[in-house]
Amino acid sequence: MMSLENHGINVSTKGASSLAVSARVFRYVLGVLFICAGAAKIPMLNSLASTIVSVTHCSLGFSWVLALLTVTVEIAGGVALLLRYNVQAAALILCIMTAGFLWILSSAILQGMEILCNCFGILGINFSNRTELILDLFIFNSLTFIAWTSSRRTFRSPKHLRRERLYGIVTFIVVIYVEFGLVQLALERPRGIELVPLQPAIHFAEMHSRGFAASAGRPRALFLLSLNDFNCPPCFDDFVLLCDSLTSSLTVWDDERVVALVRPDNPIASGGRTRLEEWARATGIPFPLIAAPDTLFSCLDFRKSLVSVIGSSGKVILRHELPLGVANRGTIVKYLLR
Amino acid sequence: MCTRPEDDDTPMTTILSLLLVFLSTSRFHIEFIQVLSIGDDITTWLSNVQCISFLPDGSLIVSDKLDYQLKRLDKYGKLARAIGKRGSKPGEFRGPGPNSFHGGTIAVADFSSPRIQIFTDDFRYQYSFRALGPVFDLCFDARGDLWVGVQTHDKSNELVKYHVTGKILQTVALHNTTGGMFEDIYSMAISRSGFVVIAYIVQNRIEVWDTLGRFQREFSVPGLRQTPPTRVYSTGLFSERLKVPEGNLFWSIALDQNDRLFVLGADYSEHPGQDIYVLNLNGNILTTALLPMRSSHIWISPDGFLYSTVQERTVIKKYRLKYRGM
Repeated sequence: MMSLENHGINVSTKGASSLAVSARVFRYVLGVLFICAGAAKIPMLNSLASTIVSVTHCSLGFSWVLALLTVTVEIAGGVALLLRYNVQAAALILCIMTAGFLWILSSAILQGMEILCNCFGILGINFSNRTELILDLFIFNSLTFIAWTSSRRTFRSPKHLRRERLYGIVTFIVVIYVEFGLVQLALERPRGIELVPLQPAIHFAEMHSRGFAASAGRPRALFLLSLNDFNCPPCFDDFVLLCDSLTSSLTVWDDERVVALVRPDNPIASGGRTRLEEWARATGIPFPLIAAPDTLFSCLDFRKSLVSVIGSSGKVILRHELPLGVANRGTIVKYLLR
Repeated sequence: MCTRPEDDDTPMTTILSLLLVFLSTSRFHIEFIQVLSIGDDITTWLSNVQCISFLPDGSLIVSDKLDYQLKRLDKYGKLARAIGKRGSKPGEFRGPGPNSFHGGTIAVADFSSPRIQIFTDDFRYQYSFRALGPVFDLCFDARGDLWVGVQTHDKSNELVKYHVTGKILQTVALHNTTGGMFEDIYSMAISRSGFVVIAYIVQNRIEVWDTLGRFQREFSVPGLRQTPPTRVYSTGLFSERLKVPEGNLFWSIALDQNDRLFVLGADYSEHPGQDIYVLNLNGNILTTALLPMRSSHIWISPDGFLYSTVQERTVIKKYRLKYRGM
């Protein structure tokens, strides 16, 4: 068997070629995957930015920078892998980014939360956070493998090579053991709250408000309210302050871009249109309040009053339960002003 | 000597406590006879009654939070006057919360806010001042000083005695406050004989102080757990985690003319919002009673009627208390 010692790799030709073939396959697969994922995110940068805001609590402006950076790294890294341009550097940068995703996903799973990450943008592929975690671990390992196989090897003595192999095997076993432990831990955790699609509520609001339906091509906001939640002071304050912000920011209300569906679990909400209108008048709510049937809230697995922003594409780009906090109130108004 | 820490929620303790309740409550019974219902017809519309205080002529001062109004109802429950709208100017509210009346003066705190507004009994705005933190209860004592329960997150000053002008007269370091967001919220009542009674909403602890700010005693309601279970919430992935109690132990307290303490049980009572534990100020349970309807809050008027809010605080019920077997 021919030796590759003159290339610095002291393995058999068969072993070297199988490693090289595996690395090439991983490069092509991951290159295509990252380009697709990055490109699919471009039309949904809004959603990605809002996901970053909800996870990191950073400002909307900074989240846009992070979103753009993510998309750029994914596309550029994918192209570099495909074209075999600076493969090691590209694989390492993508590795660092994937490590960030792994950190966020594992934190979410350990805290019993479920993040809607919009990782595949307009492709609409939404895995659960556990599946995402396992997928990202696979990608992380593959990128490490690509970076390792693409590193330049200088001539080493057989003794050094044996030691390097030993270190490599030990590192591989430790990494796999740690990753296995992490996956086990994640799979044993109870599932986070899955986000139920709001489409039935949007459809109901469009049926009962012509203005809301007519402004479908523009950003809209939909509230789902239970007046009983207003016994919680921050929830009440946030709702009222958001109404104030909307009143002062959006001057034209005839297009009814904001609608609230109210659950009939409170005498005001269940006491007929007059009582609800009276409450809206006293509170200074400028948008329509619609008493929706309890069955609608049940099918949405409704737990707490929330506000959602529907983008011009008709997809929910932001969804937050009360209380919102100052930053989220500002984000909602900014989205609606676009 | 080694002592085992008390675990109030062991089955044996619970059984003994229930036995104690049974033995000690068999002395007399209370019946609630409804004499008035306010807010369930179109003449008086109530949105969310946060607090009631009583004027000498039998009329009620009602804080209606979701209507942003302070309302005066005559003794028949008819709306006599209302002031206020949503806002932060004098006479406006972000939601009127706790109120109290003494000697022609009405003090009203805004819901979840440190602002306290002072009105005359004919609803003329006088002035306002800010408490040390958001006010969750307030009450005038017999001298006309205003006792205010505030959330400062500083366990040493969450009960403050103010002069009616807003000057702090005294801060009281309660014994069971922790500085926490939920643990320190309490309901307060002041007896005619000058005792300030504090019942924590999510702790089974009741503290008795005098109006000079001197601690008298503290006790629990037997047969009830000490604290509700908690659940950890986080609003964001990397935000601070919050321990939130799953329900309350008590909704509110009231004192009758004979210094009997009425405690309205909440989520962990056998009949949530209906069970009333009646105790004397030494902590001995006198009886338990069952309100006809699930209630959010109770008050006892100077003439001895018990008022409660029902149907999500949209209706006020007035009951005559009928004692049997005393």
